[in-house]
This record gives sequence, structure tokens and C-alpha cells, in this order.
Amino acid sequence: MNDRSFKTEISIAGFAVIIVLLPLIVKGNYFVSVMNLVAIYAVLAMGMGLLMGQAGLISLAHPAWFGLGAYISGILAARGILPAWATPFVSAVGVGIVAYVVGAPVLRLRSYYLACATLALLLITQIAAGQLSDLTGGHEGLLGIPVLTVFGFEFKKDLHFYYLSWALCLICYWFLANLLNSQVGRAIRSFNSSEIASASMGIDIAKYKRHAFVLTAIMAGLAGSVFCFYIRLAIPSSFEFPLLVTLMMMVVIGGIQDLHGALIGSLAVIWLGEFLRNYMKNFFTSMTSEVEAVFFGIIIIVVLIFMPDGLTGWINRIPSWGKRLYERKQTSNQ
Amino acid sequence: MFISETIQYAISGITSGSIYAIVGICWSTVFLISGVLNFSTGEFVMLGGMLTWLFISWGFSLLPAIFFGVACTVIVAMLMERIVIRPVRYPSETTFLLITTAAGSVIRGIVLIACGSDTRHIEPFLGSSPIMIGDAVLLPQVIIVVSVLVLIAGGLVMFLDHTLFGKALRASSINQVGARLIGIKINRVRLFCFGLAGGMGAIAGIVIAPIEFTGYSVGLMEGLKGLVVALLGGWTIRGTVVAGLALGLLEGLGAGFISTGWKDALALFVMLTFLIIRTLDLTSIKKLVYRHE
Amino acid sequence: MSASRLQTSNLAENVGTQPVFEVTGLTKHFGGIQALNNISFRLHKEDITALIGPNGAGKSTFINVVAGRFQPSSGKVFFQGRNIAGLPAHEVAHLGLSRTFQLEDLFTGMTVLENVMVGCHVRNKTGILSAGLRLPSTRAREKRIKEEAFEILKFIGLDDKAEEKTTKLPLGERKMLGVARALAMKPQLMMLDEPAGGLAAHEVAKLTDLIHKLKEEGMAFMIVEHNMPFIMAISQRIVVLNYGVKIAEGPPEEIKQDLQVIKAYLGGSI
Repeated sequence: MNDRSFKTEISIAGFAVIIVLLPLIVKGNYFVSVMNLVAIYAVLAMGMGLLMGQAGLISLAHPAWFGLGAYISGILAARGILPAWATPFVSAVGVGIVAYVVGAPVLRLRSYYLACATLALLLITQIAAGQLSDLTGGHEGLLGIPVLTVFGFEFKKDLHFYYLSWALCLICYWFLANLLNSQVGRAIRSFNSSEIASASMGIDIAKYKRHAFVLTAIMAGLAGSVFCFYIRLAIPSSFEFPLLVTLMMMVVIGGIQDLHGALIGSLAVIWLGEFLRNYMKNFFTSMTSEVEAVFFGIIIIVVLIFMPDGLTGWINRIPSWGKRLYERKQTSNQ
Repeated sequence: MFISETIQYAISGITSGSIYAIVGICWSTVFLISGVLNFSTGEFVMLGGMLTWLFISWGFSLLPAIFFGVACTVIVAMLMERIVIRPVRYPSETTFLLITTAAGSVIRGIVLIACGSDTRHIEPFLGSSPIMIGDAVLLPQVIIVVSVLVLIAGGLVMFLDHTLFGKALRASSINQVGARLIGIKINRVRLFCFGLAGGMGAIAGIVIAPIEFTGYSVGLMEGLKGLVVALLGGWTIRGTVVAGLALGLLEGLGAGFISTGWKDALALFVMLTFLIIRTLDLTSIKKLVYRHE
Repeated sequence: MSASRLQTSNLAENVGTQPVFEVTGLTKHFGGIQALNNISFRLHKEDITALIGPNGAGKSTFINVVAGRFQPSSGKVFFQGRNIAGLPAHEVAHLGLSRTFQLEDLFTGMTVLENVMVGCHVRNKTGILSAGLRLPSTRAREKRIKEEAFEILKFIGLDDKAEEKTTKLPLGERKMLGVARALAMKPQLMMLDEPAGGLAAHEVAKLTDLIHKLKEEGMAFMIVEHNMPFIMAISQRIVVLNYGVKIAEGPPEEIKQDLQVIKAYLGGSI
């Protein structure tokens, strides 16, 4: 009966094996560091995709939770208030509380108005990070973040963070996949297609919207927390508007309907970005994220117009193509 | 001293407020008629300023440069409608949000590649000898900005109320299907609105460029402030003008007396508060108010 | 006048049994428009009650107000021994009142089975953590819900389409799925909003069977409908609305003869 969840677990396990083995096959720090980013951004994209695609909430505040998580961890660890290993938990709780308090009123808004409000949240957070320079180090960023040490093990190499980020990513994936395939997930998916029918089935829509919002915010906060220990810096520019465009692209390219769309999207976008950066170096002296955004923007537009289901839509259609081919062969044989 | 300081802040507030109002009108022109919130509206403002600067640097004199700047922005805006908005097969708020944001970042990036990341400046149109009000300085350019707002808002009201095409626009903003039934071509109307919004945004970007510097990145904030005042003004022209000037004044005084760094956060905070208050159920309060009728 | 006469007879008939559902003085206006005006009636489990009336009579508004989609302007709705007027829709659903929709508002993007599983929501609380971690309790519950939902699909005759997307179903089956979904809530009272609209004759017969079966199991019904033969055949009591006012109430035979009802349907002034 539970074939779907079984399939999910098998595929996560298979994927985990690949992830563990990859650094052994592909040598080089570069590969590991890029894959590290893939994992961290995939956590963000998964959350944003879940809100947009499954719950029908256009939340643009996602980079803000990422930044908030990074700053909470960074400040606590840099000032020596808490040992580094404890700060991600505090980050998660802190981001969760903020997301809950902010989400309660903001989630009463719908569609464009929700988008406007969450965009405002993102930009306010960004301005605050730049302005509260006593606390955050201002635009130059927060320095002095110590090495993440867990039970004496020091996370120093890219490879260490590779495993940490992918562990976080796969746990988040597993959690969200379970959730979507449960009573809670069905409640969340139901109000996307009809709020009235959903409420008539006894679903407290406001409550589940809040749940989804806070949960994905916490995940983004954790990702931010890991990220700040990875680059040993928390800086406003790491969660500015271009990050939002990048995340949108991951969600759009991967396909909004499925959870693994975010994973595929993150893989595709980060590697595409790397490719562009390496290739375009010859043409542009300063290959900033804004120039990257041109390519990403064009791709978003093309994808939205020509393949609204994203890459996953294509992948999902492959079996039916195969079936059609098979059937055609059958009929031609007859 | 305090009074002239206040006047000074008020002047700069009204200046930027006028721009917000124009940009707000751009947002609502497109939104009311096509249902698309165009998140690249701010880029039209940036394009206007940057293109005019570009034409001036190529040796054009001011008026032709302005003309070409506006014309090019109008073309970009109309192209955007034609190749980005119209082909969308499954129109939804999410799609439009994503696609217009993407278009905005394309425009921003191209300008960055073409013109660099330096801030640019256009010489004031009427020279820079200031008019003194007490100790406060009033630049002639400010008068131009305010009169452009008056012209645009007034012209648009006249156009919508007194011309046949304007009335058709209003009709299609109320009921798209009905408008189509009586023979209004919605696609053409939407194309026109994008062009109109592009033109107005460009003019705003041009007249403000001598006062505040222009650069590839100014569009984001200008655009958002326009969205804020369009929301506050209830998507009407009059409301947007009032909200724009009010927000400008609030920001001007706030930046002057409190802090410049938080200036942008103020507008966003106003929008957030306004949006949340709008969702509250006011019927119980209304009942209290109207009970004694 | 005739309404009040009928109501007293109603009281006399059912003396001794407690009504499942009762509205008193229910009023709803949208701005200046009076959609429902001072509606009162009782619903007993023994009687399948129909709510009829010409277009715009306020039938759908009635369901929407009672089921918590709209706030009533005034009046009371008694269900399960408490006044539920003004409660939000999801709380009304938890009390055991389930409704269907005129244009079936199915959850697109879910399978037929999942649609019914959503209906099981009221009786199955799952915490977000236990769902995400897939604790044993959640696994067991999921399994049970799935079996239950499948049972309901079987009962209604849609079990062979359990894994299909809802968008692929024909209209008749969509309607039945709407009923199945409401049924999964195991409600005390079911309100069907035009269940027979757009159905073919054999589908209407199937629906009638189904309602009778469920009634025997103790479920109370209120049906809003346009299809007169269906209503006359299935219901024991009929409440007639016109312009938001109750103009008649009684058994089908009486309603057929009622002068006001005939006038309301054929037009003309009273």
C-alpha cells in the first residue's frame, strides 16, 4: 500500500550513496565546493518551491530567512556567546519564531499582495543587516566567525562541509517528502486548488499555511547557518535580490510541481552559473552576479513560456514517450 | 534654522515623492488593464535616465536625447509585452511575477554590461543656480519634476475621461470579457498600456537624473516605492499622487531628522503595515461606528 | 401565513424526536441585498429534507452561511446542540456537518484516492513533526486512512479509478467523487448542493440509491436541487425559498399543491 513512500526512501538512499561516493570519483576541491553550494541552495529552493507550487503561497522572503539564520549563528559564534556547534539550533529556533510572528499577519494576504509583503520583508531584513553595523558588521560583513567544531571534529575542508550540507539537504528532502505524502501534506496541497472546499473538509487553512511557512523558513535558516560557517562570513550581499532571482530560476527550471524539481533546479542552475562564469571570463572583466542574472532571466522567461512544467515535467513525460514508442511499434508489427 | 531645514527636507521629499507618484501610475496603468503586476516597472525609470545619459554622451543635445531616451524605453516596454507577457500560455500571478522579475533583471544586467556600474549624472535642464527660500535651496530642476507630475497625472485623467480610446481603456479595466465583446482588442490595449507605462517611467527617470544620480541599479528601489504608493493610493491616479507625495515627505523628513540609511526601509514598512491592516476584519469596528444611525 | 401553519403541523408530527439541525431567524444581507430573510425550520434525521426555489432564491447562500463560508447577519443555527452561526467553515466541518459543491471543487493535482483521503482529515490529527519524520503512529494512520478511503470509493463505485487524476473524470463521476469526499468525513449531516445537476438518468438513480443507503445508516440529509422529479421522489420534507424568504414547508404532496410555490415557479405576483 505504501509504495510511494517506499519509493521515496529508496531513491533518497540511492541518491545518498551517489553523493557519498562522488568526491571519491571526481577529484578536486573545485567540484566539491560547487556541489556544496548546490546542496545549500537546494534546501532554499525546496522550501520556496513547496510554498509556491504545493501551498500556492508566493513568498519572496526566503533569502531573508537564509540571511537571518546566517547572522544569528555568526553573531553568537563570533562573540563567543555559544559554542559554534550549538548555534545552528538556536538559529533554527530564532528563525522559526520570527517567521511565525511575521507569518501570522502576512499570510492573511493573497497572491500579489503576499508577494509584495514578503518582498518588503526581504528588503527590510537586508537594510537592517547593513544598518545595524554594531551587531552585524554592516556592509563589510561579519568577520571572526570561528571554525565549526563538533565533538572535537573541526569542519575545515570543503569536503567536510560537502557532507554536512548534503546531509542537511537530504534530511530536509526526506522530511518534506514524508510530509507531502501525509495527512498534513494533503491539507497543504488541497487549499492550493480550492480554499473553500479545503475549509469544508475541516482543514484550518491559516494554521497549515503558517506551518508550511515556518517550516520552510527554519530549513532556510539552517542552510544559512551552515553557509556562514562554510564561508566564515555573514554579509548582506549573500542574500540580496540576485539570490531571489537565482532561487526563482531553480524553482522554475526544476519544475514547481515536484519536490525533486528543486534539487534538479539547484544542480542545473549552480553548474550553469559556474559554466557561465568560467566561459564568460574571457568576455567580461567583471562577471558579477548581475550579469549572470541576465542569462538566468532569459532562461526563466524561455522556460516559463515554452516548458511551464520545468525539467521535471520533461523527465516525468519520458515514460509516456517510451510507452507511445512501444505502442507504435506494436501497431506497426501488427 | 529649524524652519529652513524643514523646508529643505520637504522640498527633497516632494521631489522624490513626485517620482514615486509617476512610477505608481505606471504600475497601476498596467495592473488595472491587464491584471499583470509588472515587477520590472522600475527598470523603465532606470532605462529612461541611463539612455538619455548615453545619448548625451554620444553628443546629442538635451532635447533630442530625452526624445530618444523615452522612445527607446517605450519600444523596450512594448517589446516586453510582445515577447514576454503575451506568449505566456498559463497565465497566473506566480508566472507573471516570475517572468516580469526575470525580464527586469535582464534589462538591469544588459545596462550594466553596456554602461558599467558607475553612477551617472545629467546636467540640470535649466542650469543649477538655485532659488532661495529663506535658507532653503530650491533647484529649478525640482520645479520641472513637479510640473512633469502635474502634466502626466492631469493629462492621463483628461485622456481617460474625455477620449474614446481612454474610455475604452477604462472599460477594459473594469471587465475584460465585456470589453472584448464590444470589440475592444485587449491585446492591443495591453500593448498600449505597457508602452504608456514605459514612457511615463522613462520621463520620471530622466527628470530626476540631474538631482539624484542614476545608475544601473536604481530601478529596483524606485520601482518598489512606486508599487508602495500605487497600493496605498488604491490604484487610482489621484490616490497615487497623494500617496506618492505623502510618502516622499515622510521619507524626506525621516531621512533628514532621523537617519538616511533607514530611509528605504520606512517606505517598505509603511507598505507592509498598510497591507496587513487591510486584511483585518473591520466590520465589527464599522458596526460600532454606524450603530447610532 | 401558510408557512406558519405548516410549521406548527411540523411540530405536532415530530413531537418527541430531537431535530438534528435547526435554524431560527437566519438572515443574511450583502450590502443592501437581502439574500436570506428570517429563515426558520427544523431538520429531522428521519426526513430527507430538500431546499428548493427558483434561481436566486438564496439556496446556495443558505448552505454557504450555515457551513461557515459567510457570516450570517443575524439568526441562529443549532447543530449538535450548539449554536454554530458564525463559526468558521473548518470548525463546522469538525462538528460533523459536511457539504458538497454545485460545481465540484475537487482538488486538482491529486488523485481520486487522495481527494477522498483529504476528507478523512477531520477524524485524523497528524502533527507536522510526526508526519515529517514518518513515525510509526503516522505510518499506521496513513495506512488506515488509505484503506478507509478505498472502502468509500468502492462503496460509491469509483474504486477502479482510484489512482487517476481528477481532471480526467467525466462530470457524473466528478459529482460522485465530491459526495465520496464529503462522506469520508463521516458526517452527521450532509448538505448536497445540486447533486443531480448535469447527471444522466441512470446516474441519478444511482445517487438516489446511495442516499437511501446512507440514510438507513443514520445520516441526515439536506438537498438543494433543481431537478423536481428527483426531489419529489427522494425527499420527505421540502422547504421552499423565494427571494430569500421561506414561502412554504411541508411534505412533497402538500408542496405540489401550494399556491405560493406554483406562483413563485411560474412567475406572477402574490
